[in-house]
Amino acid sequence: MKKIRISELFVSLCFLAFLFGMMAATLLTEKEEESFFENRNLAAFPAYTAEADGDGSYIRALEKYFTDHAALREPLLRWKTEMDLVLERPVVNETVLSDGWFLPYLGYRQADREQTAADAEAMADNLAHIRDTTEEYGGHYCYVAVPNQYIYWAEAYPGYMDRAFVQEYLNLELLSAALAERGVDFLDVGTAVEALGHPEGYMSRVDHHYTMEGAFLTYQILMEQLRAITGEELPILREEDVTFETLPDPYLGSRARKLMGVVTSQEQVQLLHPREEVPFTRQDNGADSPSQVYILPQEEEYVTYAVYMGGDVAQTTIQTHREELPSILIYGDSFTNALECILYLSFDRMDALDLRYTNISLTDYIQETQPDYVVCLRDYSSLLVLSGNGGGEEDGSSD
Amino acid sequence: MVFSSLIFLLFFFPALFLCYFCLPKRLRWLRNCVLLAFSLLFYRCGGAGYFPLLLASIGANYLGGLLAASKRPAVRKLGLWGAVTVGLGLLGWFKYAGFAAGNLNRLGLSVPVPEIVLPVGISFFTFQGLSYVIDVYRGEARCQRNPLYVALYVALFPQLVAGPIVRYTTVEREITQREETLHAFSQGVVRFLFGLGKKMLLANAMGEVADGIFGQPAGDMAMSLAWLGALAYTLQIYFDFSAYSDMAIGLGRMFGFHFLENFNYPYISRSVTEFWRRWHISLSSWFRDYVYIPLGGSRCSRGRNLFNLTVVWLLTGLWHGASWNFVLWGGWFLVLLAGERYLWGGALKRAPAAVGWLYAMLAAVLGWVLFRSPGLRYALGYFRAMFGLGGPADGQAVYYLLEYWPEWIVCLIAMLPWKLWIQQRLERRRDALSAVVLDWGPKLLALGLLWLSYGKLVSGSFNPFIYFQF
Repeated sequence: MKKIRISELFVSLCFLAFLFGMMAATLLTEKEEESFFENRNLAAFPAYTAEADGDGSYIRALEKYFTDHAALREPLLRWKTEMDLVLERPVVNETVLSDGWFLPYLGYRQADREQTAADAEAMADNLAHIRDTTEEYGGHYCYVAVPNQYIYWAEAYPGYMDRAFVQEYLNLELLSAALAERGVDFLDVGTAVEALGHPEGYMSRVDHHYTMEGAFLTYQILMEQLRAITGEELPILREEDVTFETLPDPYLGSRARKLMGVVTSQEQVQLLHPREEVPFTRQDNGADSPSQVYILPQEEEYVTYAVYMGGDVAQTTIQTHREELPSILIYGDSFTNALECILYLSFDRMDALDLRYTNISLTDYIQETQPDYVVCLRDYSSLLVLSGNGGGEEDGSSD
Repeated sequence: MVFSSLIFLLFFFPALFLCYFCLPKRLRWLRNCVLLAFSLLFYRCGGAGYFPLLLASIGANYLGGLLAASKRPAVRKLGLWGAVTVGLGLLGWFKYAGFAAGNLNRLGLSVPVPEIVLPVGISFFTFQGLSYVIDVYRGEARCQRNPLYVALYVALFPQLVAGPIVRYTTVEREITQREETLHAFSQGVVRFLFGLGKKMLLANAMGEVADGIFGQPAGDMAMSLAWLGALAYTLQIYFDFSAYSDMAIGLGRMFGFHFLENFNYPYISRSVTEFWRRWHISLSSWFRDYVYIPLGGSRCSRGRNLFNLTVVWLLTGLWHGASWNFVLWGGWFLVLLAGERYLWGGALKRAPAAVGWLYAMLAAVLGWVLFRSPGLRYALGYFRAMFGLGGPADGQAVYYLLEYWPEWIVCLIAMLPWKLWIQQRLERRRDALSAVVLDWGPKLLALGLLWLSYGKLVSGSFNPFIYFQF
């Protein structure tokens, strides 16, 4: 009888143990519905259809399901991230790490001027329609653009990466021209912030949003603009009217979150409190909510941007019951969340909409609530996106 | 289904292992039935729609083989040409009908272009089945009267969808009289895991680079980026296809089969002739034995030989895909091979090894650009960029080098036969430590690769096999 080599037995057993062990672990472990670090829903078990079986898409969907729910997936994702960091790859999990900044890797893009011009015209028509709806009952409308994190910190990218962001600046240029033609008020916060000397604390280094300091600056610039539009003496909070509270917990910004939390940042979340307390009531999606704008994590390890207003909410109403003040409706993507935590302080009533999560018609809502001011806040990259918070006819979502 | 998928690794393979090895060895026929059932299931997982096509191919080859073994010449010819007509007919319809119709339309004829999805692996199982019928017709193989065994030969899952193209004579005896041993199983495991590692860790990384670069307009591409893209694809296609062959050979070994090698370090070749002796050996030898030699091979006049080479290389090009790119790719190698045979072959042999290597690599890299390009116009633009007529550098080449630096280094090392050199050195030393390293080294490395590959598999989504499209 041929002599059995230990090494042959060892490798064969290890191989089989691995496959059978991983199979059992994959089948037996409890299935999560979402991945916190990837910030996405995991694949659901696919429904069988003869058509999907026929073209092979059923097996592909099944593979995706098992990939999302494979045993040890999260530890392996974390380990892969750590390995990529050790290997000093410039981009890890689509994130560029640059001396304290976590920025998105966007590739080397080119802009299509013709297409962008067409998109800008369509968006301007859409915004003009919303403006008309607002002005019908005597309200005022303003479309506000804020810079993206990657544009604000463009210089932090390595020199060999594309940091011109031609598309975003083209969006800005063509839309502002199209809006000017139609007489729609447009505020570019980015330009205003640059005029203030590019303050370091404006934008987060580890999240794709601005900081609370940045939101406060945006608030002041916006309020000045609203004052300028109407000539109304709106109350504006200044530095001396507020205090900042720094949360001790580590901040897991969206970029750091992509890195599975394996890299810690020095940045911490700040909350803004008015020196003079303003009592208010809050409703979310028509139901009463606790009177708070900061939702602190209960037992979670990290603080995220969701601390502001509790994250994205389809519809929120905050009333301060000061009838001498005007009302405002703000809608937009998650950049509005931090701003809302301050904005309500200057109004009697603040409505906030995130059209990505509701089928509410924006114009119906405006006509129904008739706010004195209607403001849309979007970042440079989504300025021309009609879907979601663009308020256009299409459904969809943007960042 | 692909080998580098969780469904295969965690479900298909363990289920097959249990069903197969729980049966006693003496029930060989039953083990073969299990293997056949799993092979058919493997193909069916790619889409039930084309499953009947595989069955039709098996049926045609079985009947063709029976008739080709007849003593009556007319019946033998009927068997041969019947199988060839059915096999090439199916291949022609599913793979080339759209291409032919498109070209006829370009010539001004109004022909409807059929929208046909290419069935997975059709080129491989068609050629494999035909080799059986031809070998039976020639009397080089015995006719297999058991249809299940013909089915097992054609549909055997390790090589079913992406080769290597296994000759019936290679596995004829092993279908009924093979021996599964721990030694062979462990060898198969190591070979399979090296293939899996090559695919998951190297080919996919190079694929990301190549897809990123070839996905851009060629006209404005910087010279450095164009060369980097071409090099990335050169490495991707080698590590991808040879990985699949490694996995197929390894799986075959686990179940007692010995498939022939399909690659032999092609990127160390010093001529294009040598390259084609080392690259996709099963396809080259198929065309040599079933097309080139029957046409007269090289033992004929120069004109006839050039004609034979032309037929073989245009067919080789077309076998890879129904597009003028592939025809031109075949033509490119035809020119180089004919040139080496009749013009510069002697000078090449006398030249320093480095010159020969550079020449062969350049020929391969330029050939792969044609192969990878979505169309001739794109390929032309890409060549222009490679030779400095594209756009200015924009930093992308630096990014792709820095982002994938570990893979670049490992790829450039792994394309050389280090494994053989180290093995030979250790074998020569004949000491205890060398023996331990020789015994345990590859196995531990293979297990490490399994972990890394599994990690890549659950964390990444980029996992296509290039040769599935053929």
